[in-house]
This record gives sequence, structure tokens and C-alpha cells, in this order.
Amino acid sequence: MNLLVVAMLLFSVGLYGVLTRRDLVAVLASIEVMLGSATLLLVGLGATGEMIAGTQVGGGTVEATGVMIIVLAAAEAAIGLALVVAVARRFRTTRIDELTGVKG
Amino acid sequence: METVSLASAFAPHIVAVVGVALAIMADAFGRRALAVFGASAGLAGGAVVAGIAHGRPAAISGDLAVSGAGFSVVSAVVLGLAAVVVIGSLGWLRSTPSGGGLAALAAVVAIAAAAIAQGADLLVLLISLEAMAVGGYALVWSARTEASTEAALKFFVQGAVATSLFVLGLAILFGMYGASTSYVWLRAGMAGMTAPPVTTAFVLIAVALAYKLGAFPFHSWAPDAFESAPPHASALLAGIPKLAVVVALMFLFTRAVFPYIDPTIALWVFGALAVASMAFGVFGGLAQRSYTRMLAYSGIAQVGYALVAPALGAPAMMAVAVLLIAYAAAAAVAYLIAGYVRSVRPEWDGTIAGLAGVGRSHPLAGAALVVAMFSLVGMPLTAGFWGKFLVFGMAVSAGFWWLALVGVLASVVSFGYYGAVLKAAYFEGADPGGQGAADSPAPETTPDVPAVTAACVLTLVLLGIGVAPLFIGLRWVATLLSFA
Repeated sequence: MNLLVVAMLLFSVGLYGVLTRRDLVAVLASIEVMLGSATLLLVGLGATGEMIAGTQVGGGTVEATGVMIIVLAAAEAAIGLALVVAVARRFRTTRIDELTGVKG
Repeated sequence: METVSLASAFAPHIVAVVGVALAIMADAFGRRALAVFGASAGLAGGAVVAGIAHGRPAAISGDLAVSGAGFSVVSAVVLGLAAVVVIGSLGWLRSTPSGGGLAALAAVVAIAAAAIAQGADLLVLLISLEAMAVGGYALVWSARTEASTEAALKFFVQGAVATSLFVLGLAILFGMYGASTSYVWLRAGMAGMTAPPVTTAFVLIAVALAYKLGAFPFHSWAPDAFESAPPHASALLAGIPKLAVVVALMFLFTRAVFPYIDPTIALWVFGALAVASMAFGVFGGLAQRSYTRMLAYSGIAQVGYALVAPALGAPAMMAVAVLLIAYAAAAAVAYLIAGYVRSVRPEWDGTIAGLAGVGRSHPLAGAALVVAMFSLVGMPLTAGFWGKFLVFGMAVSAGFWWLALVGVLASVVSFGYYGAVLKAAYFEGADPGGQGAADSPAPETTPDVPAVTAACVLTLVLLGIGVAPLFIGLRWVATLLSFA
């Protein structure tokens, strides 16, 4: 249960960061914190065997899933940073509040 | 459900991926047209392979994917529609640097959407959602304007938050109940339990999928993305992902894992999302001057109609599939026509008023526009009618007449903006006989023939689906789109 609390706290930190930080790189980092907290929960629950249903974990399923999510997060960071670079080149800034071209 | 080998469940996707590989190769040699044909042929081949599988009853393969019956039909529609849109984008892709790569990317988005519709594992769902989203960000950005860069970034940040929510929900379910992400195992682990973690995971995954759909209040990326993306890219991104994600959502929430949650919670969550999206979408649509932005708001309303279905439970799966197949085709036509108009009127500012007289000066594009708008409203004799008829009819017979009432009222209001397009296209602007400026294209413009051809093909499909039930009844729909 401690694990769940830690993961939820980390996730909240990340979400807070996405909502409040004005710099795109910081927003990206916050997204990574959110994904990382979910991965931590996953791997942690698998490692401590805190399964309510009591099903056996076998064959490294948890680890495989965790690695899959890390790969996914890396792919997402790659396209995210590419977009930030595109924004930085075009607008000469990486601050969200200075991007006001489209209405929202 | 019986079992089928994983290779045959994913056969359509494998065939389509061959097309992607061909497109990337062709693009490397600078043969853009060949790349577009390759991607489109791969998608069409995948659609045929998926279509062949529709006769089988639905079966789960390797605890990962579901195929057969309605699931394969939805895959076939997703891939086939994408094949038509990609070939319809030929004009745009040939004239764009890295157009061949964009064709491959569009095909990847469609393949991922087809995998979403057939996923029976949260991890498969997550990876396909992500593949679709990443392709989507790049396609939105491919217009390479300031607005599209910003819209793509906004789309990305919101999509990434949605992905994180999904991963958290997945982790909770995985760790607590199943030690596996497969629906089969999660279901076994969850049997007989109604604990707060299930509800938490339910809300997290529902919110993540609502983001991907662009349902109110998770919609704010959609109008920017669909307005500033190239219209051909919007034709692909507007409808196809919605169809796939809603089918996955229905399978997940009403059949596979979440029948264990309290049905009243599901009713209120999805019912509230549906009503809010319908109301926000139609009134937002009325306020727009830009044609593509109006279409994006109308898409939010259409997601609202579709989200009536999860509130009704598993039997509504067939109805919502019809609704969104009709929407995906009609939205593709509407955006392709925007691409065509941009090619024949380079000075077009993107507004609805700027469409003045298009229907008279370009009769084919005008006809496609009429059918697409009528289908989006839900006029009889078009495919859109049957979708709304089935969904709202099912809502009434299940006792949720208020959901149907809001839907019908929203449809009536929506005629305000769809009708404005037709009014502009046919009853405004220069008289064809009077001033020749609007009708005879300037010498340097090349009409986007592929776009208008693809739009007309899809128009015939919309009319076909709309008229056929008058002669052969609706039973074939139930047979074709049975998800059992």
C-alpha cells in the first residue's frame, strides 16, 4: 500500500508540473515523471507480490510490461522533444505563455 | 469464444505493414507517387484480408487480440477508408517534401487504429493508441505552419497526459487483479470483486480514452489540430481514430473487463460525457467561421452521440459502429473537399463564407459536400441517418429517452452549421453566368483531382449504406456487425 501512495504522490507531482510549468522542457519532464510513477507502481507491485487476487506472476510478465512502457515513454519523449525543437526554431521561445497563435 | 492463431488475427495488419515498408523504400528513392500507391495498396490489401475474416465468430487469439465478426468488419472499414483517403491525398503528398514518408505515417496511423479495434489486452491497446497518437502529432505538424506547430505541440502535451493516465490505470489493474494485462486474465482476477481500485482504474482509463476521442471537457486540442493540419491529414485523423477507440472502449467497458463495475457509475460517467460533448460541440460549431474548425467542433458533438452507447451497455456496440463508420466516411469527405477547394481557390481563407459558389462552379465537389453534410446531420437516405436511428432508438428502448432527446435536439441545432456550408456553397457568391473570376480557375492552379475522386467514392458509399436498408432491411447490419 505504501507503494501505491508513493506512486500516486509522484503522479500528482507530475500532473501539477504539467498544469503549472510554463516552460515546454519542464512540461516534458513532468510528463516523464507521470509515466515513471506508473511504471514504478507496476514494477513495484510485481516485485512485492502485493496481488489481491493472488494470481502467480510468472515468466517475467511484470518486467516485460515495465520495459515496454519505458520504451513507449522514450518514443514519446523523442517526438515531444522534436516538437519542442520545431517550436523553438520557429518561435524563438519554449515558453507556453508566449505561444498564442491558435485559439484553444 | 473460440481461439484463432495470433498470426491470423493480425493478418490484416501484417499485410498493411508490407505496404508501409514499400512506401518507406519508395520514399528513400524519391518516388513519392509510388510510395503513396504502395501505402494505399497495403491498406486496401489489409482491408480485404480483414473483410474475409468477418464470417468467423469473434475469437480471442493468444489472450492478446480479438478477431472475426464485427471486430474484423471494423478493421476492414478502418483500413479500407484509410486506403481511399491516402490515395485521395496523392496530389498533396506528391507536392510535399517527404510526402512519401507522410503516406507511410498515415498508413501506420490506420494500422494502429485497426489494432486498437481488435485489441484484447491493455498493453496492446496502449501501444496501438501510442502509435496512432505519435503518427497523428507528426501529421498535424506536417503543414509546417506556425499554427500547425503549436497545435501539434498542444495535441502532444494533452495526448501524453492521457497516456500517463492510461498507464496508471493499467498498472493498478495489472498489479491488483491480474498479474497480466490481458482482458481474459484481468477478468479472471477481478471476478466477484468490486473494490475502489477498480473504480479508480475505470475512471483513469475512461478519461484517457475520452482525451483520445476529444470528448468534452477533454477536447481542447481537437479544433486547433484539425484546423491547422493539412486537410487531407484531418480527413484521416478526424474519423478513423474515433471509430477504433469507441469500439475498443465498448469492448473494454461493456464486455471484457469492466462489467464488474457498478453500471450506474458507467451510465453517469458516459452519459454525462455524452450530453456535455453534444451540447458543447453543437454550440461551439455554431460559433465558428472557419470551415475545418467547425468540422472539428461537429466531431466533438459526434463523439457525444457515440458516447451514448457505452451508457447503454454491450448490445449498443453494433449501433455505435454504424454511427461512427458513417461519421468517419462523411468527415473524410468533408475534409477532402476542403483540400480540393484549397487547390482550386488558393486565395481561400478557410472560412465557411469563403466557400461561396463552390457547389455551382465545381459540381462534383458540391455534390460530395451535400451528401457529407446531410449524412453528418443524419438525414434519411444517407448512412448518418441509420447510425443515429440505431443509437437513439436503442437509448429509447433501454429507457434512457433523455439521452436520445438531447441527441435529437443537438442534431437539429447542428443543421445550423452544416446548412450554413450548403447555403454558402450553393446560394451565395458570384453568379456562374455573371463574373467568370470564381469559376474559371486561375492558370497556375491545379485542381486536386485525387481528393475529389476519393470524396466522390466515399459519397457513393454513404448513399449506398443510406439507401440499401430500404430494400433489404436492417437485419444484414446486425449480422455483419455482430460482435459476439
